[in-house]
Amino acid sequence: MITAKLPIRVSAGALARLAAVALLFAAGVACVAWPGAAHAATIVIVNQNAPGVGFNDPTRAEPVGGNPGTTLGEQRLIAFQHAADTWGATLDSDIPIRIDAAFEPLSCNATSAVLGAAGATEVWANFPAAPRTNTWYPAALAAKLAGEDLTDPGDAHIVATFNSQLGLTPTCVPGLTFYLGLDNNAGAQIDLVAVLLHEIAHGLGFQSFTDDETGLTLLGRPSIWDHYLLDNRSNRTWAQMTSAQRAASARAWRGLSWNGANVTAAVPGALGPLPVLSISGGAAGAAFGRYAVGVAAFGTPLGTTAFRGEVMPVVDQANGNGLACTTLSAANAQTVRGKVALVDRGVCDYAVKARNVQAAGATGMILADSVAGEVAGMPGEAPDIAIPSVRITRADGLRLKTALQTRSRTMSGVMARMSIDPERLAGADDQRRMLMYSPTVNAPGSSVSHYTTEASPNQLMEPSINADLSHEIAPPRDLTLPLLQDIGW
Amino acid sequence: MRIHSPLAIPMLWLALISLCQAAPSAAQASRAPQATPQQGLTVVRDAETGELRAPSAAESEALRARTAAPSARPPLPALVTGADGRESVRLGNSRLVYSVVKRGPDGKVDHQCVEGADGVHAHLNHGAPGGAQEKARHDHR
Repeated sequence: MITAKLPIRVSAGALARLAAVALLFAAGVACVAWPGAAHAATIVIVNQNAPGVGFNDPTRAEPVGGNPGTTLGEQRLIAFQHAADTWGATLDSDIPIRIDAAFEPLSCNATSAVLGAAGATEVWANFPAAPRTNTWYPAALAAKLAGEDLTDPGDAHIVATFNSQLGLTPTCVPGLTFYLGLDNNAGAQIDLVAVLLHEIAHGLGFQSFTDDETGLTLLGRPSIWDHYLLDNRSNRTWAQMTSAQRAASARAWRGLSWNGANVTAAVPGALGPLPVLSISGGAAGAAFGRYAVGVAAFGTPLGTTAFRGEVMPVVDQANGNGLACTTLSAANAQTVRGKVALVDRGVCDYAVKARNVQAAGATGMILADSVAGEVAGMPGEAPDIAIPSVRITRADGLRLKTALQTRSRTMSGVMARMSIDPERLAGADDQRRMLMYSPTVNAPGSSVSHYTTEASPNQLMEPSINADLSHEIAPPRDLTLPLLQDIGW
Repeated sequence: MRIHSPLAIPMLWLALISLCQAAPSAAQASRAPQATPQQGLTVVRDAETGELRAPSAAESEALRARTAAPSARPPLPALVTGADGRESVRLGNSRLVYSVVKRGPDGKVDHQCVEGADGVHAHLNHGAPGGAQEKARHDHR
């Protein structure tokens, strides 16, 4: 792999700006074994920063995590190059991809900040050799498919801007800085390379240009994305649906799947089995049945051998809830000893609750959400916790509590069975197609254009960048590349 | 055991508290997300625990409906048609995907990906815009 930096001027309108261009030639290099990744693309990073700031910030910096830069600006550029290099070595295009890149002050306050933003600068339709007519393609992909650069040579295909002040000023989440190392060892910092890999993927086409809130297509035409985005209840793609139908399906939890051959082929090797909780027993009543659950990052993971136990609730709040944030009282300890403890979300970490019920003798924990929504996992590091734990929705928690109202001090007659379903995959639908993110309340920009948060292991293109991500973008660990291949890369 | 109605209680307890004015220090930057007129950090008091927390998606939507008219995406540039029929639309910043981070009082960080200035505004000022599920997934409590 050859990397070269050529100083250029960006445009006549930006005379004061120096631009450094990093040409990342990845010819003939394949970083991964995923089929179709044997070719390469050239990604050109066009430095949009003025002298002394952003990529040109002269603040001294110690080399970190394989990043040999000795100034803040150098390290930023090297990290950017690294992410672009990863994509460049994996994609296949004869047309160089230009990314206008900059580090600039972006919106932030003491506790929140925009890390960065990226996306396609323009979309194209009905260009020479377009695989589908009347369909929008992002600029970089359209150029690859057309075999010619459709975009003006002075313009970029992708724009990417990141926050130059993150953690560096009192008004921009002080102390929370980008980790500029290349070794996926960010700790409590923000892993810039992971964020870049994610954001560049959006710019390459990992997004719909159809409005996920209204369902309106861009100027009446679907995006290439919409031809693969499938409403798995009606079995119609977004390209086949009305705006109202699209808007409704964007709010249907587990209702949207990706119907591309490359992703579907890679799903079985990438995703783990689906965790499940089954409730039964003579007193289960309306709570009888199978529950969707989020799994814990701590404790004994669920397996094919089911874990069984009688459910008993912790009650340590005046309203009847049980937070289990402190050592359990003698009465609560007696209640949950040898049982599966039902506790409520809130006030303290999930791992703290698990630790407290474990110390009281519980053999498992079910955590009921305190906020309405869909199932979610329980992060946390706690090697001292051995019991299995699952998390259920608030609605399911209320259902379970109703069944427990007839309990005695030590028995409930409500039985839990925690296991995995080897036939189902965590993050896939019944047909083993990858699920897309479609929360019941629309999240503009997050909905539809990301993978589901139920995927296990976590995927690069979920709405949040999780701490356990590697920098991999291809199967078997990650499903980002096959989706880009589905849309034409 | 008291079981609260998930619909009734938020109406009784929902508390819109503007703690501070946001500081969009990037508003001057040419490519920074556009600030919207409504600013401020919003929290709700949890009906069951009594603690302040970021609003859920449903609560955010309800608050937004009561406190401000929904904003619209900026108008898109016109369609450009070439001689051979090829067509293009310049997107500008309208479809940029923003990566946003929020640090909780315990120092733990939630990270979210949102699109457009609206999504950024919602996240910076109202917590996770997409609902409890993704917010919760990456919370530690």
